Amino acid sequence: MGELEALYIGYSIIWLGLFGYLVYLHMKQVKLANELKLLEEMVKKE
Amino acid sequence: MKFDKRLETVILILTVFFVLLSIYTALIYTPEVREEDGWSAPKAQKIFYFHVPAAWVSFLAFGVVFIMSVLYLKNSLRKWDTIAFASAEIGVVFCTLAIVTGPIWGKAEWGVYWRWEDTKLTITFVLWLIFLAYLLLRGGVESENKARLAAVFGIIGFACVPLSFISSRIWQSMHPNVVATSEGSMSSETGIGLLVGVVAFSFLYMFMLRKRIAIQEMASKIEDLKEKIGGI
Repeated sequence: MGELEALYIGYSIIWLGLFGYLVYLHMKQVKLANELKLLEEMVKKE
Repeated sequence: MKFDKRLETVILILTVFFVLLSIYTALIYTPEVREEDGWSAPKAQKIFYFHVPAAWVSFLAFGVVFIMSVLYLKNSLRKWDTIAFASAEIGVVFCTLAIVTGPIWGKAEWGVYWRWEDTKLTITFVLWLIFLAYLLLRGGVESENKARLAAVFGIIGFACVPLSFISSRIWQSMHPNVVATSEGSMSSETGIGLLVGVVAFSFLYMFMLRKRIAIQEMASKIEDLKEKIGGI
């Protein structure tokens, strides 16, 4: 593996990994917020 | 609530600022190491500015798991368990990044990806496996004592952190010592670059932790509501 190749791969893994995890957190938060809102409405109705 | 939102915004701004600053210091501010000083891949050495902070933050996250697990075993409050679980997941993410980027740098620098006889690498890998098992335990085991079991696991798993930290000093290792030794081989620019990286990733950890805790709390609320609806 070349030096620059290692650098590019290393940096890509770090930043894509962190960004990917942040996106995962955000999507999970949005999904749960919707589910929570729906359930709260159901409880209110009942 | 208002204070919480404001704090979250402050952490977000500081995170973005330090992440951008860390990229600048790593790529532009810090000088390239010289082959005369024993580096065989000077350009790949720049991985160091994010590989070390990733490892540092994973140790910090596992330290938080340890403290929260001890607190949970002491008084069984759900909030300690929530923080421990959230911190463990983020710790595994950062530890994975450190474990993956290390061999990439190692291949360029030493010509090999991994050496099992190297205690630092092996202990860090075991640490990663332990906390991966911790997450699987949290997700898989259906038991009332799940949180207690996980707390014990988290406390035992943390033992690998100090061991990994000091292993390259007490056993033979090709992994360099990061914290300056008496020979003091790190230049001031390198030290600043590393420090900025550590601060950036620590803020990123705080931001992720707050987000992950919020998710966990929402999931608990949903479970409670589902039980309530089921019980009506």
